[in-house]
Amino acid sequence: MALQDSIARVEMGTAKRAQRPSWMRIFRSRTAVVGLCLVLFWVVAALLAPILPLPSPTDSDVMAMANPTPSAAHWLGTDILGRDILSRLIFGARTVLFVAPLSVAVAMIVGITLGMLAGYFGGWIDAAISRASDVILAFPVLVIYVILIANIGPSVINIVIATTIASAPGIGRITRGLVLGLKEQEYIAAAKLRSESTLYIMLVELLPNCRSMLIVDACLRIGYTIITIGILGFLGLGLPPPNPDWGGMVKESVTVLNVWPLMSLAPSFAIVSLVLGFNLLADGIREAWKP
Amino acid sequence: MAKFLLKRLVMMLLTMLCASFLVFAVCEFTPGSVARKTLGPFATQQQVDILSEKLKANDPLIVRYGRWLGVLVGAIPDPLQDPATGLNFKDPRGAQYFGNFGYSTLSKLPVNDVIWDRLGNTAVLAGLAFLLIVPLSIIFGILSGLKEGGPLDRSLSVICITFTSIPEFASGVFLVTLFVILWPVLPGTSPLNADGGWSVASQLILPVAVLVIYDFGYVARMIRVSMIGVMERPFIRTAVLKGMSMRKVVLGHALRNAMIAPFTVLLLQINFLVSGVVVTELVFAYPGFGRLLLDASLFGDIATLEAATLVTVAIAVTTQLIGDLGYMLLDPRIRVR
Repeated sequence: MALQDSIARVEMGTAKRAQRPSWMRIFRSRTAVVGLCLVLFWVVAALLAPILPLPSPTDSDVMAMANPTPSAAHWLGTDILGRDILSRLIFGARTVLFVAPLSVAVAMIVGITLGMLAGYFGGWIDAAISRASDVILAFPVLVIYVILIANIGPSVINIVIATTIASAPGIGRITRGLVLGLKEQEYIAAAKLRSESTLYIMLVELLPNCRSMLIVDACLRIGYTIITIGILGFLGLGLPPPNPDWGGMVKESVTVLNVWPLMSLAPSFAIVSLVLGFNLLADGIREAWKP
Repeated sequence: MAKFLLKRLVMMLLTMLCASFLVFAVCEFTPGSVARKTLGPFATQQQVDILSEKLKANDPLIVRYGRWLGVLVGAIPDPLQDPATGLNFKDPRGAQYFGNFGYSTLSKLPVNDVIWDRLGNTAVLAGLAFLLIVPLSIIFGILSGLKEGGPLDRSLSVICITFTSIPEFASGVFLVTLFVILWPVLPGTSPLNADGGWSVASQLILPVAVLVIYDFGYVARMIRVSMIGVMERPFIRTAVLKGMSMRKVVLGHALRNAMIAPFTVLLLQINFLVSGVVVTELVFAYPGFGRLLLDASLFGDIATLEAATLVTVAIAVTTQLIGDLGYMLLDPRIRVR
């Protein structure tokens, strides 16, 4: 009886594998499409940056320094050092669109691994991971970044490290919650009965079923990390010059805001549009994939 | 209940211990020693070495952490105030008392003289922001949660998402451009004295606005989700079906239930505002706690940084505890077993 019951469960388990969230459904959500357009605009601009007919983002145009307002040569004008703002924005997008997704990807890998371990095994592993997360989560997020980056110095690797330390506990907590709900499901029992390895169960059975939540979370986190990178730049903890960096551009020009507001407004709008893109995308995906 | 509280208090203390140790460990990576920072860039290497020796700054990390902790609880006197260092650091409270955060190498004052005024200023800023965030987010959240996917929900959601996408420094730039440069009705800096001819109240408007703009949309989204969940529940359907007015259904039945989950979210915003004030205070030159924390970490002023960290972590764990307690009060179904 027990065996038959188990076989029935195996069959049910394999048949009732969760249906895949369809990427096509996203295009039906207007918010998602607007978000995707905003993100793609910056991605395309960043990718094409080297072949676009732009002035160099780091060279000073001494002639333009006297009157750094928009002109035919500099569509958005130049900054106080005579560097072309449009070019700095587009090259700055390259930095931010490389660093933010990379940091979030690393943080997701670490966070998902920790959350899976905590949720699946429970017991002392769960207790250890959860307590350690609590300590990190007790810090205000920006304080973690400021303390870490001020001490270990600003660089791409260090921003990735800081993002991982700051975000992995939150991601882990979400994953743990999802896994706790999923591991009692029949298809997990079925997989165990088929004597699949723990790694297989985690990667093939559990992970795909956490996917929709985690993708939405990743989208939101990329937006938030872009904000954080901007803030670090604004606080003077951004990537070292001459890397164009949106937050750093605002920092350099905010003192002359009353004379040449465009120098600060342009990078501010750039960061808002990109973050808004990711946030709208996340919201659209969540609506489209709602069970 | 008493056991639960005691357990939570012990956990809070442990969390703060771990957090302060982590900050200590991270400060190990700072380029430049405490002695160098205390003496300034023009001191000779020999002077630096002598002071390092006197401060026992070359001891292992764990020993120095233990000493810092000892100074904090008043078990040992602060080594920086020892006349033998020749630094002439004097704390009017004495060198050994409970709650001695040590000496700030940045401002050359006892940390206790520096930190509390700043914290008070920030409390005014964050408190005002919080007072505005709560009603705004509740109104936005309830209205958009009434009918999921309706035109009202969609437009309010887009407004909220847009506002949460504006980092504080960007909204600072926007607001200053609008209300200081184009239409000069407000001051662009907030030093909290009336020297510039602007009243202190007018100096608070823009910093508070920046904090509210970045935060209220997020809370409103949380309340929206909770409201949607409540509006789908059977007792709401029953109330509507028996002919109760929509106003009464929402205000009398849905609201309290919808506020249970966001209550914790709202409290967590206090913690979130601590992050927010760092940038806002920098934008408006506001003499607050966030800027102190930023300056201390940039300068490597460990004593101030540790004190600031302990305060922020204490705020975080306390709001968490209050959140859990309030949660139990609001919802009798969740009580500790």
